Amino acid sequence: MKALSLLFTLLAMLFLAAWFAPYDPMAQDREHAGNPPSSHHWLGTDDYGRDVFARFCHGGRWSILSGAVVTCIVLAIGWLVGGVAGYRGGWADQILMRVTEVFLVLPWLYLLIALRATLPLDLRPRTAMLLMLLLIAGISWPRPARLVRGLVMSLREQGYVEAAVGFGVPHWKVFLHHVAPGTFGLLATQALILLPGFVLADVAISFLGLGTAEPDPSWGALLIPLKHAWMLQQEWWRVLPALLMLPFFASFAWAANAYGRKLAR
Amino acid sequence: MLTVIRVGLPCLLVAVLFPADSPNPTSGGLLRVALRAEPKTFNPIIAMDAPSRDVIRRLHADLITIDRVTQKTVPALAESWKLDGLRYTLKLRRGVRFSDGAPFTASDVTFSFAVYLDEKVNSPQRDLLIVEGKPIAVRELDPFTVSVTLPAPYAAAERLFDSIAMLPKHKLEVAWKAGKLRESWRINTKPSEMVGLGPYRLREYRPGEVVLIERNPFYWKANHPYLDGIEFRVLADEDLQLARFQSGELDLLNRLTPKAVAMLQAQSEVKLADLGPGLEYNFLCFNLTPGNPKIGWFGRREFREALSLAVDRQSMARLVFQNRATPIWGHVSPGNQLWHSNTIPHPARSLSSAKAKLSAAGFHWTSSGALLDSEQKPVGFSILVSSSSAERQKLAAILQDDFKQLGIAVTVATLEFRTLLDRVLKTRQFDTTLLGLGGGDADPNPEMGVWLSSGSMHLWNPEQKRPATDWESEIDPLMKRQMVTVDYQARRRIYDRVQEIVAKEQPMIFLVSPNVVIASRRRLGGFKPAILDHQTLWNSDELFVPKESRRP
Repeated sequence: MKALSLLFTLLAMLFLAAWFAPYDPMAQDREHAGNPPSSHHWLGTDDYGRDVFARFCHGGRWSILSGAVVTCIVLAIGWLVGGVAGYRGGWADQILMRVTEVFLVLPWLYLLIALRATLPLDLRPRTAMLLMLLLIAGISWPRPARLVRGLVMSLREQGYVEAAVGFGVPHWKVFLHHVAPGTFGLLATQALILLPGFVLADVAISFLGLGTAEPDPSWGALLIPLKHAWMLQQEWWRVLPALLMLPFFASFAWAANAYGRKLAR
Repeated sequence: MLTVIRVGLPCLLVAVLFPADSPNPTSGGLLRVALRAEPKTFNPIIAMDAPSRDVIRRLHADLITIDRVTQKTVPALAESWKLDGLRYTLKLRRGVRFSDGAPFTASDVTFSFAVYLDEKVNSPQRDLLIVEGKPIAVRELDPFTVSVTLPAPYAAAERLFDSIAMLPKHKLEVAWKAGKLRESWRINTKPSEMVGLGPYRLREYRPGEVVLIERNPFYWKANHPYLDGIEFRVLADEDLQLARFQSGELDLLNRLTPKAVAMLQAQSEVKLADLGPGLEYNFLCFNLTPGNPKIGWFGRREFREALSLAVDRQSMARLVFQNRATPIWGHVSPGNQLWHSNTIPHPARSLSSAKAKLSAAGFHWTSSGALLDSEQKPVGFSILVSSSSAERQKLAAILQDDFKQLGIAVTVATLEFRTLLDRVLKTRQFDTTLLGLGGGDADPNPEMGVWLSSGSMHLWNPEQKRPATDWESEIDPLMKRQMVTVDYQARRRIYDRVQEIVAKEQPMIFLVSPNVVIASRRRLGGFKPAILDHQTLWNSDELFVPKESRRP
């Protein structure tokens, strides 16, 4: 509970800060480019004089919202595939699990590069990024699907499920009313694990120069300068957004752990 | 006189930056440099990628070479030459041997040119040896004299011979006759099979790791090279190169980014040289191909001029290159002292002038400031930029903001470089692209393909059957005429005119020319960095490491 409270507090702060951020995250002030933190610019300014704090807040809002959307899609597909495979078993299980294996070995990075190459160039950066995240979602569902399948297979063997089937309740009703509720805890834990993972995917894609494009802010774009050898010596403040991201990822992990332990009890 | 002064300036710069306080050259020592990618081949006939050519240029020699500092031609394997009308007579040095000890004679020269001119071999050097559509004719007069007859006057004159590596007939003739020359001298060929006339020969290649070349004991320059060898380490990442250089594992770094320069400035054992603007010019190129849906905007000169007026070139030089770049308004950078035109206007940035031009051209603005064309369509386009160039991505971000102030919605699309080239050169699916050109020879001829309307690198509208515009039909004959005008001043007047037309019509908006900045460890002697390729290793036979500075 504490972990979840901390997570929601951090998210609320991020979203409210984005609302009240004093600067336009995309406004260039070229006379004050590359400045260290000050009372005006709490996290300094970037190469074009844009306020890094404003970009952190607006970028974080985007990164987390898009991560949440992708997480929902992944869990929905994973739950459906894993549920059907685990409950039906037999040939359905065999086919669906072979399909998941194919998706597991897809080289997602190359697929992303290929997708970016085929998208119309005048597509808005956010739209292009969302399409890329959807592609990630399209190939990321097999892991939760396998977990759900395993859980459903064990739930199917429970006495109350067998009793329901024995009383002639239709299978879809048995699945929805007696099996599916048992998977929601797993889905919640997976959501807490997957969401920061997809935020990091946005970070990774942006880091490679294929993600959220200028001038839109994103957490990934804020981390790009960190790859340079000169950064810590010359512009140490560029590390501040990364440090501010840590509590978010840590609280996601803490909440997932705590929730997982609670479920185990 | 002016030419002498201009050519002399780089020499003076290098003399000031690297005074002759080095101890006397002594033999020995190993130089360690970085390669940005794996070499694809060790075959000089087909090599096109920079890493392969960086290595190959040290293994082979040409008849006449360009001194990268003075930008003048100097004798190499040909000790002298004379021009009689269209015929060059070249006297070869006597006693020159390949790296396997076999003698080098005129028959190797005729063999080499026959190979480069062979259509089946399809060597990239072939285009350089075709003048006015006809190949040059090479004839052996005696074992140490060859004649080279040009089909027409050729302005670049003996620069033609630079970078045409002389090949060993005794090693390659069989493969050539069998039609297997392109398959020869691959990266897995035994080093002893590959022989050349350069200062070094290949000793070892460990894929993904290192290319080691060692002193050629038969090199034609007495007591040269000084180094025992050069180790090329394959390091794709610039930051990794920088880290290795800082730790002393590399002796040289080429083309430093401004931030890396600032980082290295504090290190006393590092010698930095900012050679000023190089030959590279960065530009925004419009897609003027007929049928492009945005040709209605891009095809109008007033539109292109207005965009150019809105560009903040000073901020580009300051923010992206930390003032180690020069704003440009034409395609010949100020670093190209022989051909840079001083007559091209440099209009200051003016949003009001830009808006006035757009208004005069029938564009207008909505109440929210968005630009509309005469058909009420909102004006917007994309800028295609390579994901591997951080600098060009930053330039694109500045352009995006500059054009936003005109009410134009611009999206920046970053693509992997080869995909980008595919779109620009093949499918033509782009609005505008931000690219850079230049870096080879200072002479205009290597860029014929860019400025001729029929050229494959005529980026805004390539391979035209006939010039699409009046100004392109004026450029075409000028470029062809400069190619065969031997008198420098007359040729320069012609090329100045080409620059004026391009600057006026602006099919490309020229942005900045970055400085060439290189770093070396102080222990390196004979070092003469230049703005021409290869900036640091072009005189690798003269580089040396003083005894007291050598690694154990």
